Amino acid sequence: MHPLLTRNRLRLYLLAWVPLIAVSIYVLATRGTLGWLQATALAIAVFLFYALLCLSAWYPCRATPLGKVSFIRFLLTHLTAAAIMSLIWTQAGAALSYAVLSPEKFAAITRQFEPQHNSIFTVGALLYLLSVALHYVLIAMEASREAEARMMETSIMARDAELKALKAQINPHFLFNSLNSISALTSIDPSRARDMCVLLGDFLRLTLGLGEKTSVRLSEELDLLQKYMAIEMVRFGARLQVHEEIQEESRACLLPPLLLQPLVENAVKHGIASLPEGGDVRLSAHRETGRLSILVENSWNPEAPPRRSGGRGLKNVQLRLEARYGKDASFRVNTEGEFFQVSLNLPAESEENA
Amino acid sequence: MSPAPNKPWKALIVDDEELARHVIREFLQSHEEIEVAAECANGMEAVKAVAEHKPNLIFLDVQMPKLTGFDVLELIGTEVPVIFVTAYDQYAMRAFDVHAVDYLLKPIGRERFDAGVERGKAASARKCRPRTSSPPLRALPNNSSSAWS
Repeated sequence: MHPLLTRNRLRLYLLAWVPLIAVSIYVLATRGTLGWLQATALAIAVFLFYALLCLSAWYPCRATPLGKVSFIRFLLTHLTAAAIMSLIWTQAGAALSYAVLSPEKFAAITRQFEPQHNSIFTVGALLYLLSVALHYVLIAMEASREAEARMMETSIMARDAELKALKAQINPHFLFNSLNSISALTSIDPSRARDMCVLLGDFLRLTLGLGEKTSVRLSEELDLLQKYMAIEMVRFGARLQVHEEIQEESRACLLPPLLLQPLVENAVKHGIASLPEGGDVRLSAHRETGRLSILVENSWNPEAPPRRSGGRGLKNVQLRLEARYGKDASFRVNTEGEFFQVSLNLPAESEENA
Repeated sequence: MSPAPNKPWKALIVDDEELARHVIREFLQSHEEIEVAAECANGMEAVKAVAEHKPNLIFLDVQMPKLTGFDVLELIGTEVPVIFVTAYDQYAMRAFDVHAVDYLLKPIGRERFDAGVERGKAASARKCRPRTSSPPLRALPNNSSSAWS
């Protein structure tokens, strides 16, 4: 859409042409044979036509974005366009005069302006180039406004994701199922039921505690994950096998709280729960040359229909990473192999250098 | 396996979690007229067990490996009364659509469970007639409408 073709902008643009029209009327009426009325009509018609013609500068401007094309091409494009437009204008002006004026007056005016033909052509070209400059300004304005809107949108989305992620941390269904397991254990094995109550209590306390911080050490997040896994292992029994491979140096690294919990929950909910025989959830973390890489993988059934909530947890983690580290962190999902893999790579911050 | 004469009802318990099945089994112990014909850990087993045991009451989880509870219902039809047992309340409307007899939310309480069983038996008596003719009519609950509230 042409940036000037809104009612307010078009009005301002045409208003800018008014002084030019006024001067031309004055020149036409006082230096020639035309009356005021004829001079006014002719000047308005000629310049209104050119004002609209100059709007077409938008297309070559858009086709040759500043800084993205060579200077030669930039110059050639606009000078050629200026010459063509000015030519069209002068010819149209002549044609218009011929149509509006009586033959004598047309002959007189042609004679009068003959010597100035070149300067009129130059004025036309300059006016067109002015319009080119105006269009570049408008395009730049538009682009900066778009960038601003995009940034707003990203930050709103990130904050939204942050909020949702924190709110959704304690999945109520996880809670209901765990309570049901406890209910079963009360008659089978009361002491295990009590252990499960303690685990669940610890898990809830840690979740609420970590959720309030902006950064936590990986070791704190791992504590939480262990509670979570221990609870799920009661629920799923032998179906859930957990393997951890945590490099000692990585434990002190800082990361947003509850970043890994949704990944592990996802691994259990969408991976293990869809396999009748169960499977593995593997978690590994390494710190190397200022980077922290984390891998969460789980056995899965690639043919299982995706559940509705699947992917939202992952998307949230990705958005939170983006909001926190921008391009400095990566989030990858690999569904190629036997394992469903989510790998994170982020700057290794620790409390000393953070 | 032929049912004992004093156990006119055959129930199937379908849940992928052993402990969740245990709760139902334990609650059913106080219902002497109901025999647990089989326990299934996924939807596929459930479909087979329905064909094999011809139960007249099914306790069915929704989210399970292979086939969900709704998939199972699609395969076995609505002949056998089904009581859904799940941690998710959002499937209640869908359960209503497939003519589930009741919808129990985990963790399950004893009283609510018993009310569900009564509804199940009443539906079962209407739909497929238990093997002995004596108990069903007496088993009709007089507050059957409140169980869905």
